Amino acid sequence: MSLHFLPAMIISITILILLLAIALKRAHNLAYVITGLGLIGAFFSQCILLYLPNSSDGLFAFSPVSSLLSLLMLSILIFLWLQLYAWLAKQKGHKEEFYLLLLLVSLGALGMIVSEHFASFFLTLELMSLSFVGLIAYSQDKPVSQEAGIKYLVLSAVASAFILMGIAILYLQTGSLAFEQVTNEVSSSSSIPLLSTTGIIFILIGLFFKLSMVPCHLWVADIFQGAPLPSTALLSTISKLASFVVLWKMFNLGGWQHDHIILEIIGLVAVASMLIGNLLALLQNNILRILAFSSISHFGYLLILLLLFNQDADLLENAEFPLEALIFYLSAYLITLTGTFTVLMQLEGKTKLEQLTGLFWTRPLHAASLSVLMLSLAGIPLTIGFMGKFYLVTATISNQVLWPLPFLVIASVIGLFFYLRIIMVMLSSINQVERSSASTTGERASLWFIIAVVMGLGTFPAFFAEIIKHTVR
Amino acid sequence: MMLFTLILLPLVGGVIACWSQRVHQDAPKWIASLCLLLSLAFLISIKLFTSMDPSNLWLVDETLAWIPRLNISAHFAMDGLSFVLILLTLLMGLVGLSSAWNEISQHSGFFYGNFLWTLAGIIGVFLAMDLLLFFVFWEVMLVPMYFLIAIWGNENRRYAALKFFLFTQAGGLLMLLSIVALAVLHYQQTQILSFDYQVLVQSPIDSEFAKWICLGFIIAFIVKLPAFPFHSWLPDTHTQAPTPASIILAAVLLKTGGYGLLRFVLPLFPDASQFWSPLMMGLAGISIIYGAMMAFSQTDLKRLVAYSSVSHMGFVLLGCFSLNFYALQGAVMQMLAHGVSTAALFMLVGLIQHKFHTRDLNQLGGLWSTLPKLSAMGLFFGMASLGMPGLGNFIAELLVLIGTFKQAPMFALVATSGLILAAVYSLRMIQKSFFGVSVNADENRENKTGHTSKQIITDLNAKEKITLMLMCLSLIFMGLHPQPIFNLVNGSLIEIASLFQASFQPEILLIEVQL
Repeated sequence: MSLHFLPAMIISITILILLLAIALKRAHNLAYVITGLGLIGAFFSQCILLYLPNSSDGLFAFSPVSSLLSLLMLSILIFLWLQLYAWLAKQKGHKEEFYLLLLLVSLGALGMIVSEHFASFFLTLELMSLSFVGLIAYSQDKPVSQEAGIKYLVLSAVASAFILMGIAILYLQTGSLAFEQVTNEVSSSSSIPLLSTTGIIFILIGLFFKLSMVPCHLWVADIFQGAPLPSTALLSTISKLASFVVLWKMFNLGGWQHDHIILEIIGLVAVASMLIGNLLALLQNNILRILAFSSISHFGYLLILLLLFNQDADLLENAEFPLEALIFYLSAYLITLTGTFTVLMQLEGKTKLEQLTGLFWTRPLHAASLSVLMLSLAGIPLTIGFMGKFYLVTATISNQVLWPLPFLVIASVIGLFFYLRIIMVMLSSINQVERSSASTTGERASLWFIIAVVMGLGTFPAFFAEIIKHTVR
Repeated sequence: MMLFTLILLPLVGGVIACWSQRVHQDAPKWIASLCLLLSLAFLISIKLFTSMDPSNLWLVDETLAWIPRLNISAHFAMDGLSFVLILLTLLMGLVGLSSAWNEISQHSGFFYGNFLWTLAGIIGVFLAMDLLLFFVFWEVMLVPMYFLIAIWGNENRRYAALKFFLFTQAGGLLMLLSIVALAVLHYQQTQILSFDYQVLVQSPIDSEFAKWICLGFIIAFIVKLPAFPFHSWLPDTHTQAPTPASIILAAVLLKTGGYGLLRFVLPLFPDASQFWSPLMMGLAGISIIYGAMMAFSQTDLKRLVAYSSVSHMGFVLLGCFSLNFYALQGAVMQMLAHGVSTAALFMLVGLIQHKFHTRDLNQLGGLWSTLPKLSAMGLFFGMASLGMPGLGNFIAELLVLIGTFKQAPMFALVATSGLILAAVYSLRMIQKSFFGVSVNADENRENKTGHTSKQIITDLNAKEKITLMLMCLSLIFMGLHPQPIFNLVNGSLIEIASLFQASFQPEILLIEVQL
């Protein structure tokens, strides 16, 4: 067994230990510490593995790119884990299982990022999705949460069925389940046969559901709003990251973007997601719903990048640049989103816009970090979100894919409107002086850390850019 | 590191001002003024102590690595053009500060922080030589400005702040696309990936796309300027913004648009500018006439001044796209003169609003009897705005018209009629507010018990008087002896003009100018 499995092994062992620990003695502290140790251990082992050469064993394939993405995921998990204790302590009911489900999700996502075979892909996907059902329905006293859980269960099962059907069709055509063979087989013929296209579209529908792209986006707002905050955070970062990586892998290996039907579908979905996502977010009054819809549009932007792989139209003569842009944008967006959820968790579930009124004057640090994060989502310079957008635009233009750009401009301007709306609400003055609850040192430290990362990487992106460049080579 | 320091000074000053509110309520304004004076002294010392090399346009030129992955560097440079504009920025910053002194009481630390950060962003715009760096400053300066309007503005401030931000951002995004496209095409042509202005300007791209890339830049700049179809954010923003923000907005922020046209559009896209020139001159003509006519029909003083800005900035656009040396000189002069005169007008309107709680021309009148000093100042700056000979605005408009007349007489003809209209609306403003029946005097007598009546009668205080007097003097100086300013900017302008005027001989002209 290759050394590459170490992080996943560590997580698996942690899961077992945690199960035992819960069976022996229920203690929130203990579960928290065990989870943390497991995640941090996985993180450091992943760090060591970062620049190991590629290796593959048929089910899983490892490369520096997948290592970097796993690293990104683990750091997001660790950051959320840090916030989790304070949040869970305020909840009723059992707390330890939340950590268990969190670790299961991490295991599933880690596996999905490196999967190289439809069998391993589907198993890890299901491991992740089913754990999410538990996470979403976790709050025992909130009926909305239960409803959201059921909704996710049903829809996720439908999506899985679509993916399975797609896999079956592709298997029918090629007689193999390995990504490489299937995609090579499919794309080797001058035009992809219609049956394979159908299979591909089935898989795409399943993944679009996970990524909540238009037109498979209808679940996202209700579940974001209904689920407990940390579950929403995990759902919007980890699940989407893993799903998008799989999508990228298929396009990169198979060159599906050369088929005009697939190309049209991706283009249509990308543009529709950008515009519809932002339009739906325009007049929402709940910040979670805004985030849900804005995530639709952000993945719409990212979808454009998929069209750039294996094109021969690169003006910058730098074939790896789209991948760099993809990693940069994905990291920028996910880091920003994680920060946003952290702030929201610290605000104790104040997610309605009117509850944020005057936040600048009652809790300035929270308001300032939330503003920075909103500006980053909107892509204003000096934030990491802008550098992501800059990479994306550069990759798109240098590959001469110009048609999505007008839509990108329109969607960004629409997006700016509701991000600014959030800031505006926080700026408005309040009449009665609300008792400003003091924040703990830990909270303040994490907020400063968020601001430092989002603005630091946005102002001095050179280091991060070099890491990505080095990894991609 | 001099230019970095010049940007860092207000930046750091803003942070200190923001923090210093905890120490004392009045500390932020003193820190802000100290910081601006320090920057001013620093700027002037840079100018004095750098040896003027006639063969080199750039007074100071500094580069640091920023994003090596895409060969983007933190490249700052200052030439005469940037120098005068930064000088204007800092001076108008002081004017804004003087008008904020008694007006801002809420969250004053955050106010002065944002105020200084806006100025830092604007200085960055005037200094940045790398296109991406320029873009970063271009966008970033809007954020503190947005806060200034959204927190301290008048009743409808949120709408105005949002409109301001959305308009300029939409333009900015087009510019970002253009910047990237420009760098990519430049790479195609020369195999050098660079966002650096001084590299890009060496080999202007000759692609069919050049026109459209150029248009992306132009739109971003004329939204900021603002010219006719994109001007609608300006009146709303000005009416809602607090007076200090109005001053910065009108005096300096609008000039970044003109600066962008001069610095980037004309030298980087000589052919494309020639192509768009008739359209842009047309827009400029419409802006001049339309702005003046709209100014005439306003009853709100701030809206009136805002529309007059649209009209005056039309001259800048006209001057830039006449592609002629004299017109370019006129455009620069107009930016400076309009900066000073409009800042003064906004300051006066702010004072009137502060004293009478209204800006409505119908409710004002006969101010001369109650506020003789303020009214005299108003008369002076109103005259400056209509282009009275002897003041800076006249020199500017005259030069633009001369330059335009050489290239396109019809447009000059249209623009000249703008001068007449300027007289109409300026005189109307002066007439309705300072002369005529004193509406307020009666009201005051009636409301003698009202708590504001005491406040109303006070005329300009010493600080305001000095500020306004200095602005008068600078306008008179620009009007009577503009040559020192032209000497500063001519180097840069000759460079631009020689791209368009084949027969243009900078040497002869330079001698002529120095005589």
